[in-house]
Amino acid sequence: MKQSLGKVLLVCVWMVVSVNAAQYQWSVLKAPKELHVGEGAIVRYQCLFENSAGDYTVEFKPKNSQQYKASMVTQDDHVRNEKRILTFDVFVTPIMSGDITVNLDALIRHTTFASIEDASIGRDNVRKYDFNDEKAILPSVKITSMANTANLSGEVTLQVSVDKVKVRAHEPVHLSLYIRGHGNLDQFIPYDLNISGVKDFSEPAYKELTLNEDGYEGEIRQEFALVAEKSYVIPPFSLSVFDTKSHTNKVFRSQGIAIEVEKGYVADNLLDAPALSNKNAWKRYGVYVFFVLLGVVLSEVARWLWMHRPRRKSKVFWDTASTEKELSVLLSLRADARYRDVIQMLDAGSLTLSEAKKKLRSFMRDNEEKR
Amino acid sequence: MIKMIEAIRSEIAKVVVGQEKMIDGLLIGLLCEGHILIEGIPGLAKTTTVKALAQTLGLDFKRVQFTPDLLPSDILGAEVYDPQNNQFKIKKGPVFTNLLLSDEINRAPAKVQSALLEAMQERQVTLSDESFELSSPFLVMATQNPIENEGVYPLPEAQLDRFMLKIKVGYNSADEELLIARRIASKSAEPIHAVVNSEVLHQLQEAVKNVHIDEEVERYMITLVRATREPEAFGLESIKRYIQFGASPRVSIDMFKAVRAVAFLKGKDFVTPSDIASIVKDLMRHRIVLSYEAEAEGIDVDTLIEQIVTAVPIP
Repeated sequence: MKQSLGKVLLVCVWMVVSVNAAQYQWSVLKAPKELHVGEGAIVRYQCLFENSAGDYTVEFKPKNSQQYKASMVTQDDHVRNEKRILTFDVFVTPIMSGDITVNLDALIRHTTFASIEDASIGRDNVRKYDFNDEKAILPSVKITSMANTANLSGEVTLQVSVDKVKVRAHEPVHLSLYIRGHGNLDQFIPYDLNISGVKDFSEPAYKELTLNEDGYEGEIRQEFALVAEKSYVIPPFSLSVFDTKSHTNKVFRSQGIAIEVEKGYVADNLLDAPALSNKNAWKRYGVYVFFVLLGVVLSEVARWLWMHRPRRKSKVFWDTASTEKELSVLLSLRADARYRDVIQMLDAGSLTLSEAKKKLRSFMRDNEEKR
Repeated sequence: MIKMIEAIRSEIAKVVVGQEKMIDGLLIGLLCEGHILIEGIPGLAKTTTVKALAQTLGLDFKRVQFTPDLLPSDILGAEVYDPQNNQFKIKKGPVFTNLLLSDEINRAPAKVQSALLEAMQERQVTLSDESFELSSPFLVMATQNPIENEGVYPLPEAQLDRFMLKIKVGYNSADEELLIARRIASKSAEPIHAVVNSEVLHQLQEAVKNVHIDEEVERYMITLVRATREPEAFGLESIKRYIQFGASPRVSIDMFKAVRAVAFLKGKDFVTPSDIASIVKDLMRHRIVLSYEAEAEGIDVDTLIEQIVTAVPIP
C-alpha cells in the first residue's frame, strides 16, 4: 500500500514538472564549410522556446579549444508569436588545419517557482533567486580548416612613417607603424627593432580593435624613438597576410628609410647664457634707479596738477540771491548773528549786492582760516 | 525806548551767556503779548533765561513743573471748602500771574495741557461758575525737551497754535561754553535787578504797535502764509505732498505783531522783508502739520519753510 502511494506521488511530481517546464530547441542557422587557418567566420546559433519562457535565462559563453578560437559577437533575444527566440553570433577562427568540429554548450537556467514567490512576497530570509540549471549541448558544426602560412588573415594595410630623415646626433627620430583593417588582428605580434648603433625607445603596441562579423577591425599602432650618433637605415618591415577577399597570400613590405645623422650640439651651445659682467649689472641698476626716480617725479607732477586743477567754486546758500533784498532775506532765514551787520547794511541800502557778497566771501575765508 | 531793551538784555546777560536768539524770542513774545514755546535739550538755560527775564521785568512770576500726575486744578485753582465760614471759596492757581513758566510742558497729560487753552487764548479762567480775568501782561513761556519719547505727551495742535513762537535752542559756541563753565565754577553770578516795570512795558508794547508796515510787505506776509497752504501756486509742487495742513490764520495775526517787534528790537520803525525772514521759522514751524511722507523721508519743517520763503517773490 505504502509503495503504491509513493509511486502515485512520483507520477504527480513528474506530471507537474512536465507541465511547467518549457521545451526549447537549439539549431545552427549559419556556418561556414571551409576556412583557412586564421580566417574567421560567424556561426549563428538559435535557441527556440515553445513559449515566451520568461522564467528562463540562457548563459552562453563560447569557449576556445585546441582547434579553434570562439568569441561572442552579438546576441539577440526576442519573443515572436509568443515564442522566445535567442540568436547568438559566434566568431569562430580555426587555429589548426584539418577537419575541426565546433562543440559548444550553454547553461539553461530555470528560475524556481519558490524563488519567484519569495521575491514577490518580499521574504528576506531566503535566497532571492534560485535556479534549476540544465546544460544544453549545442549542435556540432564541422568546418574544414585549410593550411595557411601567413601571420595574419583578413584585409590589412601597412603604413610606416618617420617625422624627419635628417637629425643631429642624439636627436630622436620618431618612427610610426600603422596596421589597419580587419581580420585576426588580435593575433598581431609587435615588431622588434634592432639596428646596429641605434638606441630605440619603444612603447607597447597600441591596439584599438573592435570585434564584429568581419573579425577584429581597427588600428594597431607601434611607435619608436630612434637615437643615434651616426647615420643609419631603418630596415623595411614586412607583413605576411592571407587576404580573405581574394583568398591569396600577400606580403606587405615597407621601404627602407635612410636617416642622416649630422654632428651633434657642442656643450657650449647647450649651456645657458653666461652671467652678465659687473659693468652690465651697474648699467642695469642705473636704469632701475632712473625709472624709480622718474616715477617719483611723475607722481609729484601728477599730484601738483591735481592740487592746482581748476575747481568750480563751491556754491553757498546766498549765491542764488540776485537782489539786495533777496540776499537780505536769505541771510535772515539763517538767523545767524554773524550776518546781522550785513543784513542791516543791506536793509539800509548802504551795501550793494556785489559788495555784500564780496564781504560774505571774505568773512567765510576768515572763518576757514581760523578753523 | 531801545535803551530799555538793552537794559533788559544786559540784566539777563548776567546769568545767561549767549542764547541771543532765545532772548530775542522771549522779548518779542513780551512786546507782543504772545506765548512762547521753547524747545531744546536739557542744560541750555531755558528755564534760567525765563526766570531771569521775569526778574528783570519786576513782574509777578510763577513756575509750574509739569509732571505726569499734575491736575488741571494744580494750575488753574479750585473751589475749596472753608470750615471756618462753612463756605466754599476760590483758591486761585499759579496761572494767576504775569509770567507763567510751564517747565517741561509735554510731561503732563493732555487734560492738563488743555486746561491752559482758555487762559492762553482768552486770558481768563473759569472756576466753578465764575470767570476770572488774568492780570496783564499774561505770558505763558513753556519749555519742552524734544529728545525723549517715553513718558511724554506731545502738545495738541490746537494748543501749539496758541503759541506765537516756537524757539529752538541750540548749543552755545565754544567760547560761550567756556565762559559759562568759568562763571559757574567761580559762583560769580551777579544779582539781577528789575529794570522795567509794568508801566514801561506797556509803553514799549505801544511803541511796537506804532512800527510801520508797508502795504506791500503786509501782502508779502499774507502770501507767505498762504504759500504754506498752496505751495504749488508758487512753483513748489514738489513739497505739496509733504504738507498736510498749512499755517492757520493765527500765523498771519501773530506775524503782523511779531515782525513789528523784530524791527523794534533792531531799532527800526519800519518792517523790511529781512525782519520777516528772521522770524518766519519761529512763527510757522509748530503750526505746519507735516504729512506721513515727510515724516517717512525725514523732511525737516524748517527746510520746507526756507523753500517757501525763497520761492515767494520779495516786494
